[in-house]
Amino acid sequence: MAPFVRSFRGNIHRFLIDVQILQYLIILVGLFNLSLCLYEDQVGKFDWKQNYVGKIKFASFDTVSAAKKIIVATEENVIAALNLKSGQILWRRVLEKGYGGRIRALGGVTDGDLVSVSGGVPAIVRAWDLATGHILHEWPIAEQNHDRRFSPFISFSTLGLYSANRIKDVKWHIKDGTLHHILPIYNSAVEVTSYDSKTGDKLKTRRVSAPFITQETECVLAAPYLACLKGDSSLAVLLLVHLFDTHSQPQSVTINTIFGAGAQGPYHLESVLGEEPIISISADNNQRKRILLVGEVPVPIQRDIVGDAALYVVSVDNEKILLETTYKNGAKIVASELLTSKPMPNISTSVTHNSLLSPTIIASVCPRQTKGVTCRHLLASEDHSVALLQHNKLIWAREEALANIVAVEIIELPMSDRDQEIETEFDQKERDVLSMMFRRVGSQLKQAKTFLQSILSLTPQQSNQRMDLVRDKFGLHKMIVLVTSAGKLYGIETRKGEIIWQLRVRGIRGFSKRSDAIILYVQRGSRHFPYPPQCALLAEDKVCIIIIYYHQFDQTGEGIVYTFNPITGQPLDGLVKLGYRIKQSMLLHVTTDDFLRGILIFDIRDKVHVYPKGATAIAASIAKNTYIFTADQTTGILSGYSLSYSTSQELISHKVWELLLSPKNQRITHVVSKNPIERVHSQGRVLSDRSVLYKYINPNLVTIVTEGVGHTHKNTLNLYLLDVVSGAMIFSIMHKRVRGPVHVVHSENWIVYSYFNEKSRRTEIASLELYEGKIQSNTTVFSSLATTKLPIVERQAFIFPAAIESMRETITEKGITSKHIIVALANGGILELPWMMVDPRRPINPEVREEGVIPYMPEIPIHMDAIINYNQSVFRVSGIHTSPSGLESTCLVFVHGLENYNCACNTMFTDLFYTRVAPSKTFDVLKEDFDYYLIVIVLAALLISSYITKKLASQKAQKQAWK
Amino acid sequence: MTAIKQNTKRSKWALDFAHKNKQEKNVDIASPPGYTPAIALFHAVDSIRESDSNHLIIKKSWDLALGPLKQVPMNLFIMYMAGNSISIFPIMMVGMLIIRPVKALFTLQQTFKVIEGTHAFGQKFVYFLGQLVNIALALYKCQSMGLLPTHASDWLAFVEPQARLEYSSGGFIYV
Repeated sequence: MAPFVRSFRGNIHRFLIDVQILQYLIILVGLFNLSLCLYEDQVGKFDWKQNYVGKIKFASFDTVSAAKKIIVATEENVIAALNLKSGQILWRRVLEKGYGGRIRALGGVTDGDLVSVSGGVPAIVRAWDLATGHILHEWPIAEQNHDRRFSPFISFSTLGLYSANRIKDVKWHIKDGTLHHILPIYNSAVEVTSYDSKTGDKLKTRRVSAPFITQETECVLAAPYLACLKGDSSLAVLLLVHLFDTHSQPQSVTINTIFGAGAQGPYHLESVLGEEPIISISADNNQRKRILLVGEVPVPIQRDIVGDAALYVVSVDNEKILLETTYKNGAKIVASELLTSKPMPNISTSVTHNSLLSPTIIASVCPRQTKGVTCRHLLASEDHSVALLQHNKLIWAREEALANIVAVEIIELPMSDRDQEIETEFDQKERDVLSMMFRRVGSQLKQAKTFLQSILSLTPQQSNQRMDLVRDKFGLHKMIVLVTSAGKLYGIETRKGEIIWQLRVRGIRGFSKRSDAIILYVQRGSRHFPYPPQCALLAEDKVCIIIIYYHQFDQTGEGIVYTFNPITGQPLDGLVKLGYRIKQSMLLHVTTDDFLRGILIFDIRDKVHVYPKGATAIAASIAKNTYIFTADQTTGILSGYSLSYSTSQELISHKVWELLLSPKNQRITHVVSKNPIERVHSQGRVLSDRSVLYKYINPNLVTIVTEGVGHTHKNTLNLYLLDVVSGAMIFSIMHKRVRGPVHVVHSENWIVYSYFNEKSRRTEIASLELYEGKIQSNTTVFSSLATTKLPIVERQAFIFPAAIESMRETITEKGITSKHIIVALANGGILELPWMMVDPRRPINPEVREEGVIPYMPEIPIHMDAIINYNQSVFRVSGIHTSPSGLESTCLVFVHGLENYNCACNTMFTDLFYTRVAPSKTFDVLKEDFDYYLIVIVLAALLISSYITKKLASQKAQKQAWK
Repeated sequence: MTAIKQNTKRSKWALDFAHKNKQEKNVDIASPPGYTPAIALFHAVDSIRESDSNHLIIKKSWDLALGPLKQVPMNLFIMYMAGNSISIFPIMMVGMLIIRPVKALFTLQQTFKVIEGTHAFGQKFVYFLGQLVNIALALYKCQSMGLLPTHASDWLAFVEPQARLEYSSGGFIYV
């Protein structure tokens, strides 16, 4: 009996476990419904993606393969093949991020095999298939540390550093299937190691004596020679070393033999692109330059070339031709024979195009054809755009500047002309009946006229805007304004991703300390019809003015403001130089009479300025309640300033609090405020006992993350929640053995952040949630200065089974829709993660159930149908921009990459991806496959049948009455 | 209405009979065979009763007045059987429990139109009280089902967001 009971009990136990598993399964299945999936026919309907390769570093025409193409390697660590005819990407391979993937050399295209060298120590050599972009061979070069032999006491880590410092001196040369690794050994020689580029076999190591090479020597490679410039600005000597002949002695050429007497330094050495070993030396402060043919006997060309001309040497019928590219309101390419300097007007061209700015020829081919010589030039502009030129004609241009976006805004489109007329009709100030009636009739007549005209197609409708660039019913069609690090602005409409306008702002650069960030503010949206929408850029002046005060040289980049119309791309006030350096800025929340929001600019001397000046009065009126805070990354000081001492003429800032966050071993890496346009609909959270836990929604709360080393030399991460008005520390938390990359999302009353847990070697997401408690201290207003009670903080951490590149929360107009977090994954996916999954109130005990709260599970599952970009992988995302649409349910998402600012190198590459998401599903709009006809037919049938039956019924009643 | 009609009919009948009897009394004719005065006596008692019909009306109207109170145990039973779960049938039952007494209260004047007499006010009051008790019971049921907005969470949707007093902005210094 007893064993039976035991087995029975065991069965029950097992049954209970099964039930539990079943419960989890049900919950899991339930989660599938949370995410919106995409049907196959909806692919590309709401979203678009654009691929870019970045700023071109190396390029080469592939004339060997059947399909003609251009192979490019870029600053963004991308190797790609572009279609010769259209400029489209045929294939694209993304190498490692940052330093480890930087492309050092590209070659072998003319031999039919593409070899690239990338990375530092070890450098990785890859051979690519030209047609498909597949890797054929891959091998590392690890042994570069020759100094080790000479000084065995250098430890490995310092050696690594040492090599990394010298890596810029290392040169690579790829020719005839052999890779030459050229390493200067200071004060002694140049070591040339040759490898078979396919197998990685070491073929030969040579040492060419070059005792003049020091760390400061400027050397360029003009294969098979290495040319080095030695000496100061007054007397310089050019030394040429033949790299493949160990017995040869360095040849020396004095500057005077090149320039003749009277040239002034400093001199600058450059190798001229092309197949020939030619170098150019610039003198007289880059005013002029001359070129030198390197060979057994170096031949200087006695002709001055303009200093800013970009040079390229191309061979036509075994004749060397020099191409000089200059830019003045259009690119001009002048060709001349190299040795005789005879001009060749049939090859010279000039072209003017919007997307060309100070271009340089990166690659060029001039094949002899039946009609004569036709040259194709691949031009790379200063603003990172790439163009292919053929026969004075621009074949195609690619806007590669879009690979480096620093600021994004999504702006509503203006109303259509007809709506604007209606708007003007009701905008009048006088409101007596008669005049309004006249206006009404007049405008209706006008409408009727235009309608008739459009029907009879008499005159084309006059319009100052494109017909499709108007606001749609649901506010889904918007304009994305992009600011790129090259100082170029783009307006892209959201429906197809078409570039509507582009605008080049010359002479600006991003704030150097904020890794070239340019601040973009929307001063006036497109809702205030007679006034045009206005955006403002805040940046630094590119021209460095050297101011001498107290015998101290200070390089200043003074602030500039640039205003433009974000819909048309027209400059409004143009470039305004401010005359001081900008420390911080703020967009005012109130508007002037013409609906313009002023910008408060806080300069380096803590003075406050208002742009435009006309907004000073309105700014002064609200100055009493306005606060600015600054965070200094180098000193670790956070300071808060109040503007309450301002007078009506002048704004005066006054420091009210200061906070020092241990600068020695911790560094502030993130300061995250809430989105200023965010609105919170629900003020509390309903608990299981039907009471309310009120949210602590402090608009002045800022999340500050510091990263660094803790006491036991373990990486630690601190997170502070700071009220920037009062300077009160609301909450702080420390994570030990945790390091970045940290991504923070701060919204409503919660903070979600991700980090890498070193102890368990996994990415984790932690979330904090702040509550005031069961009673609201003040139901009408929130003041940071009045609240003294600290909020209740709920917290929880989860395992996230993927590496995170970027995170952002969705935002909707009224904040009714539930929040999702858009997470960009390292594998190229963009995940829409419901906030409910990272809710810190998810109960660990599954018995405690609250409505809409899932029991705690440590791991957050990644469902493939929550990946909003399906198979359109977007790599290396570092910026996600979300914007509300006119529909409450829908949020617009724009994903892009930009420079990463905790990395010294500017290696980021981007795709642009745009889509829209509906976190609570589209509750406010009918599905697009909704059957309108069916419902109309059913309704009509019901109406008719009810009418008929009514008739029939009355007839029947009449008959019955007569019986 | 029907009650009033019946009343008038009955009184007409009674009147006729009495009148005839009186006439019979006046005309001195020997009683027909089989007639016994006992029946007449009986008739007399009956007439006494008829004069006391007022009492009957009062009794009847008390029945009416106490009706709602008599329903209370029945309602209690229904409520117990319906349970506290929120589904269509319990909701319908609770709805009926509320709507019926409210409706009855609105038609109170009409119900008591026929009722006159000294007790009328008391009856009305008792009737009213009974309906109130019924409503209270239904509300209690709603309360136990969680249908009454008595918790703070029920009013959460109407809580306005707190207005912002101070405005702040800032971040990393640019230069």
